[in-house]
Amino acid sequence: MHEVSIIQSLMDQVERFGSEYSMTKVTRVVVRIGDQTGVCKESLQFAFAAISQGTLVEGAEFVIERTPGRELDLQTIEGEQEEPTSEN
Amino acid sequence: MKIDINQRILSAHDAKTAQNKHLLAAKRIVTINLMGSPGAGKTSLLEGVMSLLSPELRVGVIEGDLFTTKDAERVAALGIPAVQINTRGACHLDGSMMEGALAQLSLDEIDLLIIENIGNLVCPAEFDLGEDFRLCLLSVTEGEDKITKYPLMFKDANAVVLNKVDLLPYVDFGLEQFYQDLTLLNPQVSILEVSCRTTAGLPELADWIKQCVAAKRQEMAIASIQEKG
Repeated sequence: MHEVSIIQSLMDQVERFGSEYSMTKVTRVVVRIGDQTGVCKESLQFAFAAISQGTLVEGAEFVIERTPGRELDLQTIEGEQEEPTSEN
Repeated sequence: MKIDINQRILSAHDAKTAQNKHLLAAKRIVTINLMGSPGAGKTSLLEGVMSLLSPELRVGVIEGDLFTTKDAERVAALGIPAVQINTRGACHLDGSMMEGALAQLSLDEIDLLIIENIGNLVCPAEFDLGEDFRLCLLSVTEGEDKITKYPLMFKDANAVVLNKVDLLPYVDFGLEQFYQDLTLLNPQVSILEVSCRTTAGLPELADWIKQCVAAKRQEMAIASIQEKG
């Protein structure tokens, strides 16, 4: 039930790291979710697709790795970086 | 490009909770997070136990509900400072909601803060609010199977209070199974049987709360001596 709040926090994190690394587009987000958390994978996927719309994360592949514990971690993000502007 | 992050998704909530916890510790306030289903009797429990705690302890209450200020009004009617958080649909309380509520309480006038969480056996278990003790309430009308169906909620509880025991003769609640499942899941848990309606068991619950406060105060006193070192 609280998957939307989790994805909202995740999106803030991804956008923060994305802009820190001057990403123009995020293409892949990998998270680790423990089996001992009360989190439903399908709801996470749904919330991710819905909340990422209109952001630099829109259309990114969302990978959920299940672990046995209580993990709720953002593992990696992948994306395209801004081309360094050449000085003329 | 790929960036390795390895960070908790709820790190923003964790940071707020750490900040709230620090504030509560500085004010020497002991905090209890009260959780349970809608209708288990969380507010009735507060109403019943309050007169047994005060004036010895100055209690403050944070009430979490999706909508309405009904619960805060019930607690405030007892002369207890109460702040209502309305989550407007969200299923749990989090660190930033707690920060807002703490700002509305006179923390210098409180010894014990009780947070009545949103009625829900799932989501609140995931969000640590910086509490010192977790008290979970289950009522006999809900059935003993809730322990194994919602293990996350009961696994970390310091105490589980079984409410509405006056109804035991009329409902099919497996009391033996309840004790068996709960002690298997959480061997350290304190289990108390109460009826908010008849007030049976409430003095024992008040004693349990007072013992928690005393234990936490002792811990804080030792920590402050060690700090002064």
